[in-house]
Amino acid sequence: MKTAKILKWATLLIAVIAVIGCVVWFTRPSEPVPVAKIEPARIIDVRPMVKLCSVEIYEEVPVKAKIGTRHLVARETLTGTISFDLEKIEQQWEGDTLVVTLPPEIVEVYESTDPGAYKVIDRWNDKILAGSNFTAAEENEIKRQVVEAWRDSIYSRGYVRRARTEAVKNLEAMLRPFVPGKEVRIKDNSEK
Amino acid sequence: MKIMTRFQACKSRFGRGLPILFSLLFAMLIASGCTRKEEESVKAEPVDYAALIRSTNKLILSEMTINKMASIDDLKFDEAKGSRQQLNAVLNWFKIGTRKGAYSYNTYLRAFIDLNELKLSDVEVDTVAKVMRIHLPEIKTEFIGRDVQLREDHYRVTGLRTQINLEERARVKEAMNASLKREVEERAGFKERLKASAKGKAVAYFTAFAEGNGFRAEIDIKD
Repeated sequence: MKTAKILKWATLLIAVIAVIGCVVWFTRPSEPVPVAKIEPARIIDVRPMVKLCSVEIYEEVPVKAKIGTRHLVARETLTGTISFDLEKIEQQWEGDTLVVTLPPEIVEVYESTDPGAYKVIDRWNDKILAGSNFTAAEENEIKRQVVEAWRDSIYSRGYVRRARTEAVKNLEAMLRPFVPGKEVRIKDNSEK
Repeated sequence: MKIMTRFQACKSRFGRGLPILFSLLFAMLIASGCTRKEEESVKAEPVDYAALIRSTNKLILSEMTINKMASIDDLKFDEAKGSRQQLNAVLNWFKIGTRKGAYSYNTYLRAFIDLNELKLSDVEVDTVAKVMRIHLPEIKTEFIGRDVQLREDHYRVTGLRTQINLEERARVKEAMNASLKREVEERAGFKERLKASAKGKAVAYFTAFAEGNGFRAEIDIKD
């Protein structure tokens, strides 16, 4: 009888200690589980250049795609720059005027480095009980198409034309102080 | 006999509804597997855009490519920090199979001078001595962007483990991006190397330009 009582109290005490232990263990400060092991950043290359950037574009683009019966809806923030390689400019003197030909534009498209630049909103499969995941290769192909479409839209919406106009104005202003008492004329041979 | 009795009891409880329900479920399963096989091609739908467009006047003098790599793997107990991570490591021990993935992408940083800050008085030309003194504005740095695509360098998911999905990859890229930005801010080496490259290029370019027009160049760049 006495042994049973002691056993009962001992069990109760162990249970209480276990509960308190669990509460303390789970509530003590702890770092969240990391999403991945991230390696330190590495410099791949540093490229010196002389480019005149006249237009920057920043846009949130919806990503809507399907592969077979699988669908994906996401949102992506893209940044685009339109610049001109000044090391490729052709220049010649026509009397007292320095004539410079604007080189072809360089359109570069990247994903923004702002937080949340790419977010998956929804994905599903038309087939019941079938998976809706996309492999990295499929996702990359979708993104490649989105970027291509966006790059085309930069031309179709007239941003390149605007960039060239701005570049003509900016380049003229940049070069004028270097040729005192002379004129500077920028030629834009582009058809776009 | 016993089975038959149970089936009959079940049948009497649900009446004719049970076979119909089973038939419907069976038909749905078949239908899901027998839908017409569509062409497995990637098709991104065209969309309308409304962009934020900004006119700039930047002379870009250098660009840097920075690579970032991360791997998805089960957390080991000896690597775990704190109770939450330790619990996760213990749970991982019970999971059957392997789940590993390695991902990388590049981020681009550039150094430039804002030509709007270049005043007419910043270029002094001595036509007698044939000397051009150029005072260039401060060289600044900024992120251009990162690769749209995430390279999958390794992928191995076996046993009863779940595949690495889109959302997880997006979270990993986000974490890599935050880590990279922190590193670039904290480790001066990134910006210093980029600025040094930009400075060298600016001096070389403007010297060549001045000499091309018959002047000797003296260039200084504001810090």
